[in-house]
Amino acid sequence: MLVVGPNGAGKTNLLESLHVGTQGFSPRTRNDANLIRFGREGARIALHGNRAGSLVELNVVLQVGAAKRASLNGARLQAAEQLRGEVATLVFTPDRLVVVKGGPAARRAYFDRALGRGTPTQAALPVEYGAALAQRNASLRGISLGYSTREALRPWTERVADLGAKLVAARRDAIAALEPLFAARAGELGLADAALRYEADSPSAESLEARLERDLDRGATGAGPHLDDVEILAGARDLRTFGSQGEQRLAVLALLLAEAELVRERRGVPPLLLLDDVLSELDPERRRILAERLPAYGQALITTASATALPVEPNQLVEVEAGEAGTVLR
Amino acid sequence: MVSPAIDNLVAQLTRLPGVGTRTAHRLAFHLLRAPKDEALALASAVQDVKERVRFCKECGNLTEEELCSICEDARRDRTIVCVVEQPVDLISVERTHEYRGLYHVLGGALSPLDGVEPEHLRIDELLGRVERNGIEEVVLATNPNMTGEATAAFLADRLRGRVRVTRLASGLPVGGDLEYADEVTLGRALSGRREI
Ligand SMILES: Nc1ncnc2c1ncn2[C@@H]1O[C@H](COP(=O)(O)OP(=O)(O)OP(=O)(O)O)[C@@H](O)[C@H]1O
Ligand SMILES: [Mg+2]
Ligand SMILES: [Zn+2]
Repeated sequence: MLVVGPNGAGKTNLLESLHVGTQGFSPRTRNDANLIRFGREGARIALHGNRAGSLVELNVVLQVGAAKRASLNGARLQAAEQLRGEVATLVFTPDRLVVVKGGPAARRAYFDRALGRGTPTQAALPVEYGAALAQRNASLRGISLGYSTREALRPWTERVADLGAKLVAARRDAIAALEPLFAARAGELGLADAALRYEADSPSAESLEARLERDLDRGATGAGPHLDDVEILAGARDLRTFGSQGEQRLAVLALLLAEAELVRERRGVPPLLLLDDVLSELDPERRRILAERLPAYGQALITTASATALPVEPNQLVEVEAGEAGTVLR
Repeated sequence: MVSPAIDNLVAQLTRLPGVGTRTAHRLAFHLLRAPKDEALALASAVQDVKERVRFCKECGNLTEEELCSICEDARRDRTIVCVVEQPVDLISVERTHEYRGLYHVLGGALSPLDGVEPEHLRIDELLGRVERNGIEEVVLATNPNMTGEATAAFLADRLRGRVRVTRLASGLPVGGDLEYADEVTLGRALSGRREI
């Protein structure tokens, strides 16, 4: 479905509300108060849909100064974020380009979230590893400053090694599952020989002990999955430095489509795709391929400022106009 | 606000764990409406607790005497000590009625980020008790979260070779607090404790 309207009309707003309504949180901000219309007390998102043949009804209510509430088919959920376990939504926004263009931290964050979406039991692993690492680093600094000891460091080294090894293994699995699908989708979109490369050493208590003096000097743990990178390649080219704008965009899009396929395989239902401003910088041929491929992924909403950006059936066109009463949907 | 006294009460209540401003207001107005004796009974209960209650010299549990009622109890098994983070965890373990040994309350868990190092916990006291008192087994019942696990690992390193060391079996909600575990789960975890 193509969402068309002039700049500032509220297209991104529409996609964001669908994300909040299906996932319980915004992809843009952690501050829920930003989601409420200026000067108003609250906001409500009510969605009716069809999931694998059965009806779903989602309600998310936001209120200034109160916790948000969500319900699924009339049953109240303990936390709005629980919607994530019920309905899958994947989103592309221009901000996502940092996954390819940005530093290693942006890619780690992306693949860690992807592994959490793919294997919910491991979703907490990156955060747990980060917590153990912060404790070990605090202990390292404590030793240098003379108020902690190597004995007291030991249990944190063990935790960091244990959780770090699990995190590396989980990332390897997640990337191995995404990689062939990513390469195939990128190939269709005209990005040949695309690949993901994750070369990481699994940490162990012994390897951390071996570099203890160096870690004490820097007051931080200088090796482990918190420093890893995932290279996004086309042939021998690292797209971070050598990709064109359009190629970088295609790579992010191919990652998203790859994950959509995994979600469909694992949950039996394709995710809702929200693609904000994905078409700019893509040539007409690639837009056509994208338009051809997307229906295979279930429901997708794409925003654009220009109605001619993508050829679609008239009943697949949603026009958004700015106005007091809100949006006009057709 | 209408009165500085109410403001002050609300501010004091807000400092309690789990009490936000909204609840604090509700409690404050409840106390205002309650009969004077009833409200003052709460005040004097708080005062009593602060004046009379102290830590058991042996195990660190709360008591009004030198030694707590558990350390005083001749029927308890003195060869086994269960190590917990806080007195409230001891109460949880007691509720299971599975355990007949003694306790040792550490007063927290190791957390370098919060500046909690071994010397801030009652660890030397524990090692001293193990040296002196014919203890055969130490059950590590710190919380099954990151700081609790690290504390258990640290203690296990210190105690291994001197005494049998066990850890509560899983079955506890991971990342949880002993305080909130129900009796059945905690009882099962206790009877299935394992060597570490
Ligand atoms: N909480 C809010 N309350 C009211 N208006 C808001 C709020 N937050 C943002 N806006 C405004 O809503 C308008 C619509 O923004 P939106 O990003 O949805 O437009 P868009 O159609 O995606 O435009 P573009 O084509 O430029 O991407 C903007 O003018 C924005 O300033
Ligand atoms: Mg927009
Ligand atoms: Zn005692």
